[in-house]
Amino acid sequence: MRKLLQSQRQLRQKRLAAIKKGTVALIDLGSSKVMCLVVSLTEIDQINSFSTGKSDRGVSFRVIGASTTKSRGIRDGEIYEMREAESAIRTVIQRAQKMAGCLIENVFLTFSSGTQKSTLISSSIEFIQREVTELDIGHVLSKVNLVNDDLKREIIHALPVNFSIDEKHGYMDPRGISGSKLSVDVNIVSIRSDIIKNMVTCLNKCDLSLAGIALAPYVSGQSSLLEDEMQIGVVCIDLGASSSSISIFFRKNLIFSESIRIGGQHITSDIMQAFQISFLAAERLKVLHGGLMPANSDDRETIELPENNTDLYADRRSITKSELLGVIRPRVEEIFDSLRTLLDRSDFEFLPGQKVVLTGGGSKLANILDFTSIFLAKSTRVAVPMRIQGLPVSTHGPEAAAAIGLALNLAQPQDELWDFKAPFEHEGDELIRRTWRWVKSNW
Amino acid sequence: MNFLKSNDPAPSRLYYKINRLFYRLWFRLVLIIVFLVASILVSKKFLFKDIDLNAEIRFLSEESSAIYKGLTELSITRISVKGAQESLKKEIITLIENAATEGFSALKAQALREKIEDIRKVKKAFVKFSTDGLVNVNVIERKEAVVFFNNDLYEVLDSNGVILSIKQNYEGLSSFPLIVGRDASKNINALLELVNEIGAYQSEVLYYEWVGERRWDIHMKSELVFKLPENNLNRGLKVMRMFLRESNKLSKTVFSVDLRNIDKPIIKFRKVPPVKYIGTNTRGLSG
Repeated sequence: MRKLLQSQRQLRQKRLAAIKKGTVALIDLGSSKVMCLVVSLTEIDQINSFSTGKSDRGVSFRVIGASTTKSRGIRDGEIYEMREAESAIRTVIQRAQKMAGCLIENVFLTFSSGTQKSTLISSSIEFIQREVTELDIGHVLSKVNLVNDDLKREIIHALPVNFSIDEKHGYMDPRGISGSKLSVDVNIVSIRSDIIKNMVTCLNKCDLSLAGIALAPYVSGQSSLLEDEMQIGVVCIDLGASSSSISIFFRKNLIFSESIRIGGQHITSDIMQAFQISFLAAERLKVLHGGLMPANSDDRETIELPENNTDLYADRRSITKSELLGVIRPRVEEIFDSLRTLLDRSDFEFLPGQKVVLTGGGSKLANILDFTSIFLAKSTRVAVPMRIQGLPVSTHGPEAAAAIGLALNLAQPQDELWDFKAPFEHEGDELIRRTWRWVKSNW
Repeated sequence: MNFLKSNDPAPSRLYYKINRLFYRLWFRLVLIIVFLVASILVSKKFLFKDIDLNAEIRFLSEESSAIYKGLTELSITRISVKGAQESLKKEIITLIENAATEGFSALKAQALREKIEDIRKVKKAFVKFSTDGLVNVNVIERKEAVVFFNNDLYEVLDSNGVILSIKQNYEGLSSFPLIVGRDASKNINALLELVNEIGAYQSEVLYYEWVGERRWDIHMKSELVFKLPENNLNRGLKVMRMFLRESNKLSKTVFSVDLRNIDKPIIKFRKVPPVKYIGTNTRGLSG
């Protein structure tokens, strides 16, 4: 526990140091593209945090540089070829630096991993009837059993999602509420630790320092979901290139997040194999002509296949749109079938909100909205991420949801387990803290 | 789902690192310095390879010194000295002319002023150069106040005790009060007040002696000596003036009037005839 707190606090310190410098880069390390946003930061008053470990200041930001490149050496959200991944990061960083006109030293990283695992852990403490204090919150959080069954996993997020006092649930900020028993549910999101190590190594090779990390499903949800949706319960489906993930939000907290290792690239791969064309041509075919809902005209609508050879006398091949849909739809059905299994496991059906929000590059596929509504039998919408200041229009789309979400998360991060001080960390300074708090509240 | 080029060129590791360095200020400064040095070296090597830099520098220094010389010669056409007597005026003009030949510039008025102030008779000097070559010197001269007989020499002092000139004999100095005694030159202001108080009897005084570093004796030409008190000097002088006025006929027989205790003056009478001429006796009186 102490080790985890120390390592996460170090990362928090790095985050604060990076914010103080005024310019940071946000990198979305995807399987199809690597995106970098350079944001200039200004400190403002924080409004949504009640943890003692964090500074009272939030940040406002403005995008001053953006660049995207094709992903290399990254598969299923993991680095497979270090040199290739390094060159992809170098490309985006250099371009973003040129656009921003300043040197990038600290980066915040987001990515989606197929090894992502979300676990809800509860803990509780009992005390004599009195008002709950910050100390009690730290105490109950320190009781959370974070012992990993698998030592090869690294905890990325530990979000307190629900506080209960004397069996009454749904408290967001339990301070000042009287009771004798305080319970908390913490959503622990973890991934395989070697993935992180590889990414940090890759960043170090590019002379960059990691200042923060967040998982793509979580930050995508933050940028794509509306506040009301997050309050009553919503599932955000991020259709990435090599993985698809779901993140369920309830009472503005991430309560569940998982991913599967199938994504848009598998659809492209299917098209490539079915029609024996290049990957790029298959991608082009998917984007321009792909769809999910068959129409009467599909049998008559022919699509010319791009040929790899340059023989002018060879006949150009063509396919009908229904043939293309016949390749795309089964794979999409497979993806959504797997996602439905995850949803069933997450008990999403018991939440008051039953909305599905699609985001990520895969959500651009034609008719996906109708398909999802029918397939999952839920109200669905395709989200466009929140507009942020200075972001180029060309970069603003569902595929940028993770990067934009990371910027929002950087500006006003949600309280995590390590933002609260455990009782063993309070030794000595509590009297000074109390005195300072009293002086602050009275003057 | 995008059309990003598969052959999107990535910068090499070296190019990337150099590119990052360009954002650092110190690296830019180093580059600018290296560029300037390289430019100078290249131009020296190829463009100005026949030019001997040492010879050029020598030539430039000679040229500049010639211009400088011309400027100094031009700068002094006339010298005007005000506030000084003729002898001092001549001395100052000679000094400025000598300094001009040494090659001082019009900018060094301060140095010239210091040189003028080094002359003993000059109390303060103001020097101004004008563009037409006129040197204006305003001088506050030190006035000769007393003659101090010291080590068989006659030192002419001003009111502050500054030695203005030293002479072997007393000729031509009789208009100034003669003082003797150890550290007498440090009490000239007091003496001048004393002389002023004596008034018309000044002409009868032979010399003033500073005794025991605390009080004055006045030696009259008639060999009469007035021993003045340390304090109540004015009262002593009043008594002295009264004595001189009232007992003019007795003065030849009186040897000294001791006024050190002003309430009980002591008059001593002469037993031996007076010495005729002071010039022979003043020798050896110095403190």
